[in-house]
Amino acid sequence: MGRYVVRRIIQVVGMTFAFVTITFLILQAMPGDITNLYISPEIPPEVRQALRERFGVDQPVLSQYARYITNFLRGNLGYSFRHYPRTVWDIIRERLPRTFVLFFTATVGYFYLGFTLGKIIAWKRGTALEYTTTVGGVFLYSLFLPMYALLVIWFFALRLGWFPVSQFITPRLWRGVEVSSNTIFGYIILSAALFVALMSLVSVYGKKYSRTRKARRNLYWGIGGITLGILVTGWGISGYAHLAANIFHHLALPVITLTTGAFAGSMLLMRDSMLETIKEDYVMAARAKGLPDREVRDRHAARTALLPMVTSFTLAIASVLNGGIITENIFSWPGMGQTLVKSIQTNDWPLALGTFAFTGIFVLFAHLAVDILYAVLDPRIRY
Amino acid sequence: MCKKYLLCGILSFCVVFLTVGAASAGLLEVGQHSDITTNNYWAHMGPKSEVWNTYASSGIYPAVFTTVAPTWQLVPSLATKMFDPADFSTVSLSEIFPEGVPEEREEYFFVGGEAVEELIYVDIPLYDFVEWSDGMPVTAHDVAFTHMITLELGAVALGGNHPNLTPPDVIAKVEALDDYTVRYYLIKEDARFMFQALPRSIVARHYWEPLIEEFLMKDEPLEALFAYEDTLDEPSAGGFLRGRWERGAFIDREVNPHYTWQGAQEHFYEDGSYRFVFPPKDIDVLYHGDGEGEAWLSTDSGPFVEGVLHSIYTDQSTAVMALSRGDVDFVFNPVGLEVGFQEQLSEVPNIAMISNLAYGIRFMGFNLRKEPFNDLAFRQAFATLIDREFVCERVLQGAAIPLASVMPPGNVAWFNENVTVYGEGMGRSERVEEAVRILSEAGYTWEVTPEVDHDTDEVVVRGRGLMMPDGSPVEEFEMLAPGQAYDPLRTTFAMFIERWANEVGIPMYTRLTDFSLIVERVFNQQDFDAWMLGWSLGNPAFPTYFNVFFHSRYTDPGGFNAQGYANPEYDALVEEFLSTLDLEEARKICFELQEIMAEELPYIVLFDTEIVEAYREDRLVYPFTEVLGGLQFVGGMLGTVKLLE
Repeated sequence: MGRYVVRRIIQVVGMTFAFVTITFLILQAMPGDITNLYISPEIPPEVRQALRERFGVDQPVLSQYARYITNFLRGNLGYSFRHYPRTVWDIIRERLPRTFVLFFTATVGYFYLGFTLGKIIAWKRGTALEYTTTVGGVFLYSLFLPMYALLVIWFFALRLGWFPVSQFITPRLWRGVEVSSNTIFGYIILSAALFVALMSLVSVYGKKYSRTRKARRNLYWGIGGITLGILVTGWGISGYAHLAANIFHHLALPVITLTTGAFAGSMLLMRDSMLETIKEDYVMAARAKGLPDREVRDRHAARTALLPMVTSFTLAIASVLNGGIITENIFSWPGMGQTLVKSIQTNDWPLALGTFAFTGIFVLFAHLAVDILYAVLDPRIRY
Repeated sequence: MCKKYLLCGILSFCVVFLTVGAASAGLLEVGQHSDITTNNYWAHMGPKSEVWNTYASSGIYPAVFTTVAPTWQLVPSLATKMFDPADFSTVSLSEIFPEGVPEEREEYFFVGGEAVEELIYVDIPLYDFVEWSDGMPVTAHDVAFTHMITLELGAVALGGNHPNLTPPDVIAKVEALDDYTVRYYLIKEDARFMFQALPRSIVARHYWEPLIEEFLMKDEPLEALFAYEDTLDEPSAGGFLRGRWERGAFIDREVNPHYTWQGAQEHFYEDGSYRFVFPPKDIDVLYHGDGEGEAWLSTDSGPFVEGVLHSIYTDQSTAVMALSRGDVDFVFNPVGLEVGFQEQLSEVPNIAMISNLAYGIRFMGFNLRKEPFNDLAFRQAFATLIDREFVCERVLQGAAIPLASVMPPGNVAWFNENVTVYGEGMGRSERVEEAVRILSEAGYTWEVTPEVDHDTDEVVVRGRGLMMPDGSPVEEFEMLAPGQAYDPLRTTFAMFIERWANEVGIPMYTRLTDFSLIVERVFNQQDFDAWMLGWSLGNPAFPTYFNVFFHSRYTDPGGFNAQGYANPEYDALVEEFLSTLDLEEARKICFELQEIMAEELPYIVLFDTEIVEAYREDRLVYPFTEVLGGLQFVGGMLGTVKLLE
């Protein structure tokens, strides 16, 4: 196992190097440079030349590459041309929390929905519920995302007026507020992480100290409720609760769109996996013992059927950092996807490359994590 | 299970309840579909000179002179009187620079290749009651500081607009004679002094001087200067303060409580004169005429709002949706609304749509370094073939406005309507005949000469095998043009031009490609035959682009005279144009320049467009909406727009 992990790490490092090199070359092959932004009769040509020299884009590609890769290995992604002299790291740090909150929520949402519906429809195979859920899910899944998103906006935001049309906060509400939205995003992430960590602990240790299922449930709900209460009180005391709520309000429409538009994939995956699992003897044995249907489904079949979902979920979580160009555009959610598009449009290649590299490396390491997780979760897998 | 749903319901209710933002009646809410990249004056005027930054920093900085919309006349602002070139005096260079000109600026102290020995200077008195938002007076020291720090840091190194606003080859020195008199020393008489240096925005010395001193101590002073974003307390002398910038979301700008000019009135008269009235200081002055006839436009200076909130959207469609829902009152957009959005908004009640001429040109050009493009007859014949009216009116259904001059008609003061337009009023057959005549007279021949039928107004025999006067064939050439996604209007034009050229045997084809590729091949590599692009023309008060687009000194790679046009007569005339400070004389020369351009055709100008904008008429009242470049071109008129109750 140890040797396997080391071998995979070496592969991932090699892949990263190749990935950055290829991306660099592709971006370099694009015509023009950042000074295209400054083609104006008001800006003398010597200014463009001075800018080229400052950014080093007048240098041969090889020397630009050598400089970039040296800096890259030191963890320096350079300056953004368009936002000069802001560093690429600084911009990623600014945009990442917004993307993370939106796409993590949506990913968890559609996996949870897919998992729940998948196990139900597999269990009730051949019923009207299976057909309607499958057809409905696949229909939403196959819709052209921009069109679907616009329909959702039209109905929920324009027609019903329940949600904001776009943006991640309501400017009017944030006027005069001293704290930045990124701080609130940070607190939201921290609160969520605390809650999840605590509930995970409860889930693990609850089994140890609670003998009956009822006791475990009471412990789970009790500690969950108390933690939630503490967090809500903390937010209330901080005076930022309305700002966090505002972010959730803006989060709702993109999350609804992404969740309803994408759950079918994980639902069908879960359904197929469940259909295989429920044929297993131990499921039959559990039924024969007279256990309630729900318990057999959830505790015996669904747990085993979960394995392919774990892979899929881990990889999906890794790509949440990419953001979604279309979703971010339509909902005016300035995150990583937007950053990538804008940087390419404006020939800001350090920012484009930095964004690619950051998300690419994350995905590569997520793959590594999946491989290791598989080995841990499934004892049948040997390396 | 029910508990879960109940909990979700309660949480959702709390979210909605907590986040209902109360609309403020006095708040002007505008949208823009790109974030700003800086809140720092030096970066904004320098490497981050993007239009989005301009929108968010309008109405902050004072200027010695200003150009007034909608007439674009130059009038005093901080200055107490109109600038008169007759006021210039001379002084020896050594008197002003006893220790010599700073080494890094020596290259600029030449005129016509001769080292300058004398400087000219002019004194400009300023009003003594104008204040910054922190209560400090706006003085001549602020003016001198702004220009001198630009020169010291290096106008070209600062980049962007700085070399235009304080041209280092024009401005030798600026000093404050006393608190309210500023003296400009010039290397030469140059219109850029009048139209760029005098109207340059002025920063508060007491705010920036200590900061810049601190930055100069660092290894990379300019980097430190551009990186400085903690500008919320930067003093303003305009109607608004610098805004709080929530990146990616909004810029919140409050009104300047110390704004000096609140209540000022501007009147525009039929004889072209401009009157400025400011009752609190008994100021009533008239410029550019005698104020005869009725004032056709009068405006009051606000601000009439309690603040401006710039909401940031990531693209035009979301900004338009926000406008139609009433989340914003106006949307800044440098290119205007696309047709689809115009249709969408036309169905929304209380939305007013206005249309103005854009200050730009779309054109095609040739690489004049190559044959046959360097032949005037070839260019004139080619221009004759292009039926702008047909494409604009019949094909594009009025989405473009035919234009044959390098000066758009929207800039009324400078537009010469009497320039040669090849093929004007002709039908297709007449155009072809005329083009054949021009080419034949110049010595061109065909293997198969094109023939036309006047009755059907068509080409019945397509030309083939066009040969130059020396008998060599005209090789097939390529015209680079932007693709459908970038500009469908230019794409359409390119297709028709290719067809018309091929009809007479000119072997050309259009290559629709990316904007960046055109820029790279035309401006940087100069590896092209023909190209089609467009220009936004900058400051309408004085068209300096006649210099940078067509003077032969800009023909090197990177220069804007990418077509390689070199005409000594034109060069001399454009230099005269730049050096005259007499507006009437400058206008005459500009008319001549337009005539030469229309004859010589370094650009074959094709069309201009209108810029369509929308605002909520149930919320806003503008003093006027007819203005070159639209409301966005004048900063959205934030200082004069009124909010309805």
